[in-house]
Amino acid sequence: MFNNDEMKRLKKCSHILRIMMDIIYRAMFIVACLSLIAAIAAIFMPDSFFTMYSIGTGKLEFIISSLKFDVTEAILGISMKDICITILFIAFSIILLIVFGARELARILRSVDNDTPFKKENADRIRAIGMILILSSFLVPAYDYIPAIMMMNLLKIKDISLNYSVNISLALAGILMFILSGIFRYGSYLQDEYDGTV
Amino acid sequence: MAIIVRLDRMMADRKISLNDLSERVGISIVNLSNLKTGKVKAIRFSTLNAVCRELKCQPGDILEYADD
Repeated sequence: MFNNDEMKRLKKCSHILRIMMDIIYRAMFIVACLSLIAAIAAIFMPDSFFTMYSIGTGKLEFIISSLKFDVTEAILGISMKDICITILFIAFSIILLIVFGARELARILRSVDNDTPFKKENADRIRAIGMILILSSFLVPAYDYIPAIMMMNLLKIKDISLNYSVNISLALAGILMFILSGIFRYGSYLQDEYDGTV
Repeated sequence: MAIIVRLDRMMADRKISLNDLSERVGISIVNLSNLKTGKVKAIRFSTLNAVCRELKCQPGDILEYADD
């Protein structure tokens, strides 16, 4: 059992974290909206807007799997519209996942702030965060893979192959969240029993 | 539930109010009221001990089993 000082420290910490998460959630929501608007706007923009016709000084390099490719000449006159739209939609989906995760985390922290952490809703929220992490473990590598493949096809880069692999650390974190959700579900049951005892 | 709480009957017999009993037993009026109306899931031995001590009765006088 926590003593009062520890409980106060925990509450103070969760209060500060909740405020930070609320700010992150709101800021990310705005960024998600902006990236979606930018992605939709990019669809209707002319190809010339995404085409480079000359490079003044220096050179343009493209890095895949730690290999540098000088694409200064190859990129001239090629429209990057499809890649830009893909990257914007990818950014939108990544930020959307962060928004959902931050929202659920802020709600959990609010319940800690209100002295009611062991609730069924919190178990569901932790499970939702677990699902987001597992989904991310598949999507985040795809977010690296898809634009790289598009770029390679566009610039006709050969003699290199890219492999898609699941992000194991994110998947493990997701599974850990599922286990934690089960613990919280049992915690909420114990809390109900405790509250119903006089 | 098959267990019926007869606290109200004992309190009437002893002519003690809910407020007085809660002060003597050391639990809140809300909890005592919940106990009286049978809204609680469980009762601690310490609470039962205090209630029996103050009402000068046996646990069986407060709790009663009846078939559903």
